Amino acid sequence: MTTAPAKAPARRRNHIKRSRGDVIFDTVNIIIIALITLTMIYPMWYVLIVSFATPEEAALGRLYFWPKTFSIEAYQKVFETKSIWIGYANTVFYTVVHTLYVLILTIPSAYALSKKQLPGRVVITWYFFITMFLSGGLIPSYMLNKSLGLINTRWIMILGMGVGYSNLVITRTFFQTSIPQEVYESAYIDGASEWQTFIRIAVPLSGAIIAVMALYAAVGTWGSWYTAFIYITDQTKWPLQLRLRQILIENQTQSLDIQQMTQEDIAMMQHQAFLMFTTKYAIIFIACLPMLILYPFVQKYFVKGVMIGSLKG
Amino acid sequence: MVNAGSTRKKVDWRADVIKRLKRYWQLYLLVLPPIITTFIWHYIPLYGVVIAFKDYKPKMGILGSPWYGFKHFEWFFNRPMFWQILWNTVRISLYSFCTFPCAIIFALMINELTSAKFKKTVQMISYMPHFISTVVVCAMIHMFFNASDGIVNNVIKLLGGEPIAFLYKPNVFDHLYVWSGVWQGLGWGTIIYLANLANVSPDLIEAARLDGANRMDIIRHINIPTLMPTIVIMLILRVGGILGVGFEKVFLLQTQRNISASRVISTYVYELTLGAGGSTTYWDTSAAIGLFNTLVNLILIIITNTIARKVSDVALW
Repeated sequence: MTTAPAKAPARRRNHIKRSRGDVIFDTVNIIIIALITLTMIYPMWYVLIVSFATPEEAALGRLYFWPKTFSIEAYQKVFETKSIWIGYANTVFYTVVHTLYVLILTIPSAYALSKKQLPGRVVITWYFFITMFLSGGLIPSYMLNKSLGLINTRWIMILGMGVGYSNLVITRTFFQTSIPQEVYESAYIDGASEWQTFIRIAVPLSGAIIAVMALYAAVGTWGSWYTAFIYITDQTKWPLQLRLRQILIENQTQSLDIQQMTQEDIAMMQHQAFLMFTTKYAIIFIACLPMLILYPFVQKYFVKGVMIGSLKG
Repeated sequence: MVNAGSTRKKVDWRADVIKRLKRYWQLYLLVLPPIITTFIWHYIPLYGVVIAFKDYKPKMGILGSPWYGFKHFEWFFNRPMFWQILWNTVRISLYSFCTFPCAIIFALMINELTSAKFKKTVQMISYMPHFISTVVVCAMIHMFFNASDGIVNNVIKLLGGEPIAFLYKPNVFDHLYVWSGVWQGLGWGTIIYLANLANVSPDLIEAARLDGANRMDIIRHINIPTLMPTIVIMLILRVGGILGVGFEKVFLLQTQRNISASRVISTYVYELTLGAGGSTTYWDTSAAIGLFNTLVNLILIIITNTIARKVSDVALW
């Protein structure tokens, strides 16, 4: 087995003179792509500018590209809102621990399944494959977790199946293609056990796939709300996303602690209402911040995961 | 190997087996934990599906509850709501499914970009929405399309139109759901196709150009055929999910006013059970509905896989 081909040679299109058709083609192509890309980025940009704009300007709908005056009032409001930070802390905790759980389950088993000589390998693979198409559904799962006593505990956010078939296949493919078989062979000849080859050879050589799997799991957990929504009623254990749903989608903004004024100070009340508008955008920005910071560094790992996954399905 | 083995002594051969087993037990040990967790969290609930055929009473447990035959299925199929729910599920899926070529087209377009820098920027930006969580995307939809202060209505008002309460309109639900999905997944979906396109031999393209092929010809006769196997695999995976409209996004975009268009199988199951405030009356029924859903998906994916295998040699199994 060879590893992925080295970089594809650079395109040599310049050999042939660009015709008029080419110029038109390129221009139209670039314009369409630029428009699509702008559509991709504008919603995110809009969130950012609203969160930094003065409540009046943003809420009255005069803001499209760049705020006239900047304000961090919305962020002050977010920082004062305790429930968001509790959710944040919970999410960080769940993300770290669940990611570890997933790694411990995925990496060693994918390694074992990458060994073609392992008897029963096909059966075990099918055992995991079936999970993609057959599932018990909401109530049978709920009954199980209830009898396990996981409801309303933090455990429900951490435990679980922990392996996805596609992740297993991606990792297995990595072990089969990226580490030369000869390395293993020589270890076996030296009398190394499977356990030793795994720990001493496979793991040190598979930093890339571990990073990919860790990031997949981390992003998944960071964004998950469904499990908590179904199983956790105790709000102090809620992850951030469930809190976001409550504030941003269900519009239960009392936790933002914006008091209704009892005085006839209408202007003040209005300001509070406007502030609520920008605060929501600030919340979105803060919720996405870790991802945005990490994104430039981790993007290549995600792409890598997709590529390995496409090697052999 | 066989020859080498037969010339050895019997004892050696036995020692060899023991040595191999010694290795294997460690491999089995490595794969054991996920086998256990999968058994607990996947196969036990699968067994729990038998309540679909029972008159489930929590006090009597799964085994103790009396059998109920297919009555839960009958109940569901005979509900006036059944056709609406099924139609919503199928319609939303099919509509999403129709956007399948978007990523392919976008990948083909990106592939034609000559400036490496521009290409990289486009990829960087278009992958980004993939990393935004479902809750945040849905929150953004709720906020942007809000009737009173959403930016979309600001623009409509600016252009002299009447504001529209998008999330209260059943006939808009599909478009919001599907196109926000495209927004989020378009760039990400191109990765796999772009990786394939990078493997197209530049010599082949040059030869085609010398033969007078223009850019569209090359896309049609070289690039698209290159992508075909990947397209087939992706297609099979998509077809398998046709009744599997996920709970999360539909539920997050659902409002009391658009529910006639947004009540799908998975949200209906929730509505009947956990959404009903602790009542266990419909637990058994909901398991029947879930089973029906799973079976339809399974049949669809088997059919697609069989067809794909016959016509193109590419299949999941």
